[in-house]
Amino acid sequence: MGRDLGLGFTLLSDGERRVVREYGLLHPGASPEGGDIAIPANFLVDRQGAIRWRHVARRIQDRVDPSTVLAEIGRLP
Amino acid sequence: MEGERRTRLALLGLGLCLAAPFAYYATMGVPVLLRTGAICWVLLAAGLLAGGVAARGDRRLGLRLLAGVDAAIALLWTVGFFGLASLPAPKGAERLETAPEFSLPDAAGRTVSLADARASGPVLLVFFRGVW
Repeated sequence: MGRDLGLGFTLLSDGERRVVREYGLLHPGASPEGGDIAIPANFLVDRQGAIRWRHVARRIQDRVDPSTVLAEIGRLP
Repeated sequence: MEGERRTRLALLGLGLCLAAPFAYYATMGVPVLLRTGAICWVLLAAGLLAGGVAARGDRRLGLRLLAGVDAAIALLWTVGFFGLASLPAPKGAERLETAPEFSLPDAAGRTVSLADARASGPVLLVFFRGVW
């Protein structure tokens, strides 16, 4: 799918929602078919593994602006 | 205002209210419009105003019904946008200080680990809800 969409980043599959759960982002029963899906979120992780910035959606339309993400990346040391 | 113009204004108001959700879906690719719904609120406000002005001081039931339909569309949209679309409070995502390690397969079946990825620089992790 990443290739079809021409995505320039790595697309990973978390079919069992294991990582989604570990990051505290599980939204149970929310997919159109009634399955568990993720709350949309972004985490900026530095080389040491510390989370330097995050955005967690509060509504399903809530998405961070790419310009905000780029600005946060620019602020990393 | 003469009756015919009022009728046209009322229909314009209804059209604007009906167009608002479609305008939202058509502009979902723009993050700020997806998040705020700005275009649809402007259309709804214009539609309510047009419908309200058309019905105000007019005895015809039809115009009042149309204004009522405008208001119902706006109400349903507001409930959907803020109420039905609200997400549960994330369980712990706001409090994480370090990113939990993980390894997951990419589209080619290769395993990618966070540790390997961040060894070569900062990593932006994006959790998608689905394809949208």
